[in-house]
Amino acid sequence: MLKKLFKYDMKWCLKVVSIYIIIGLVLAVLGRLIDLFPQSVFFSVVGGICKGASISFGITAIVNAIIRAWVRMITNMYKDESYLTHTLPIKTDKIYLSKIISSITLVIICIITLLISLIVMYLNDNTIELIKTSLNIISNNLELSITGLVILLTLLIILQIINIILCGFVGIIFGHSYNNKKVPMMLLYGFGSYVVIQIINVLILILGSLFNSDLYNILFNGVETVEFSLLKGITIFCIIIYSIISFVLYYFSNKKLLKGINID
Amino acid sequence: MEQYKNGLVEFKNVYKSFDDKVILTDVSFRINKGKIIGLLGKNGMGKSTIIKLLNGLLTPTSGEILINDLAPGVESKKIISYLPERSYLDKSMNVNQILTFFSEFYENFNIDKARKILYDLNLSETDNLNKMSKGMLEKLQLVLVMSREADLYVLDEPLGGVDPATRDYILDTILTNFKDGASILISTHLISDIERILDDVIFIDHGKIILSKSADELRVEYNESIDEIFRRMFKC
Repeated sequence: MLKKLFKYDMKWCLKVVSIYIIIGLVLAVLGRLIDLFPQSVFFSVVGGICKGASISFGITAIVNAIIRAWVRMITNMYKDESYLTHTLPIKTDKIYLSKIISSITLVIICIITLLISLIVMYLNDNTIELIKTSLNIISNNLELSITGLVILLTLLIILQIINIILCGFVGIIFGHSYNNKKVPMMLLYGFGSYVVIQIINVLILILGSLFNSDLYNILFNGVETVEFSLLKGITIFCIIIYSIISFVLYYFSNKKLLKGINID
Repeated sequence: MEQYKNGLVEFKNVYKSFDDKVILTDVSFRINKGKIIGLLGKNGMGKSTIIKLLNGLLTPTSGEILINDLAPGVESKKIISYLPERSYLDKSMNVNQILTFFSEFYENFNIDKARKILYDLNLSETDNLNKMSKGMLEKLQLVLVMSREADLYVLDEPLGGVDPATRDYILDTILTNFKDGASILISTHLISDIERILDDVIFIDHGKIILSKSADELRVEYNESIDEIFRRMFKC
C-alpha cells in the first residue's frame, strides 16, 4: 500500500515540478550548444541567459518540490480530498510516511537534475581539473577520501532539506489540530520548530566550545581561520544532530497524527 | 454471513464537542445488517458529525464507536463505502485514473460494475474531472461508492445538490447496486424523497437522538408519513 501511495504522491508533485526540471535541462543543453558556435557578443549573451535561467529553474524546482510536498500534505490530509484519503483502508502513519518519502525523493531528483544541468553547461577539461584539485585539497586536509567527502557533504545537504520539509509537516499537523486559527497556528508551529532547532544547534555548539578551545576561539574571540579538523568535526556533529532532530520531528508529528484527525 | 456481537455499527454514549461547542450529546444507536436507515434532521443538527465519526474522520470526545466489533480503523474502512457531501476526488485525474485508483486501494471495488453504471449514466471514462460539472462529479462519486461490495454504505446528503427529477434516478442507482445483505445509512433532510426505501429512521435534533424506530412502526403509530412526522417534530 505504501508503494501505491508513494506512486500517487510522486505523480501529483511531479506534475508541476517536472516542468521546471525539463525547462532547466533544455536551457542547459541550449546554453552548451550555443558555446559551440563561433564566439560573439550576441552568442555569449544568449548563452549566458540560457545558463542563468537553467540554474534559476533548477533552484526553483527544488523550492517548488518542497512547497508542493506541503501543499499535497494539506490538501490530501485536511481539505476535501482528505475524505477519500482517510477512508482508504490504510493506516494513517503509512499515509504520512508516503508523504515524507515522496517529498525527499522529489527534492533529491531536483538536486540531481540541477547537478546534471551544471555538468552539461560547464563540464570541460579545465573544470574537471579544477574540481579534482579542489576536492583533493579538501579531502587531504580533512583526512577523508574524495568519495567520503562527497558523501558527507551530500548527506548534510539532504538532512538539512529533510529538516525543513519535516518542520513544515510538523506545522501542518499541529496547526490543524486546532479547531480555529489553523493557518496562523500552522505557521507558528512550522517556523517555531525550525527556529527552535537552530537555537538548539547553536546551544550545543556553545556547549561544545566549553570543551574545545578552537571552537571557543571561533565563536567568542573572532578567530576567522577554521582548522580543517574542526570543520570535519562540526560537519559530522551536524549530521548526527540533524539525524536525531529529524527522527524526533517525525516521531512527535506521527504520534500526533495517530491520536486522530479532525476534518472540517 | 458473519454475525456481529453488537450489530454492524454500535454508537455507545458518544459525545463530540469542538472547544466549548457541544455538537453531539449522548448519542447511542445500533445499525444491524441488511437495513436501510435514514439519519434525519435539519441542517447543522449533527448528522454529518455522526457520519464523520463513523468513518474515522473525527474522534469522539467521549463514548465508544464499534464497527464490526472494532473501533473505526483500517478494518472498518474495508467494509464501509462512504459518500461524503462534498467532492473528494483529485481533480487532476480523469475518470479512468480514478477507477484505477479505487481498484488499487479497495479490494472490494468492482471496476466492471463501475464501468457499467458509468455507461448507464452517460459518463465517459476519458472525461477529466476538472472539466466535469458539480452534478456529474456527484454522479461519479455515487458510482464509485456503489461499485464497492461493502457491508455498509454511508451516504451523506446524496440528494443534496440534485434536482428533483434526478433524485429518483439516484435512489434507483443506490437501490439496484448495493450488495445483498448490506446496510445503508442515508443522511438527509429531504425525507419525502427517500422515505419509501427506509426500514428504520433516526431523528436527530441539536446533537441528540430524539427518536429511533422502524419506519413502518412509526407510520402506524402516528398514522402519518415519516415526512409529516418530521415536519411536525421539527417545526420552527
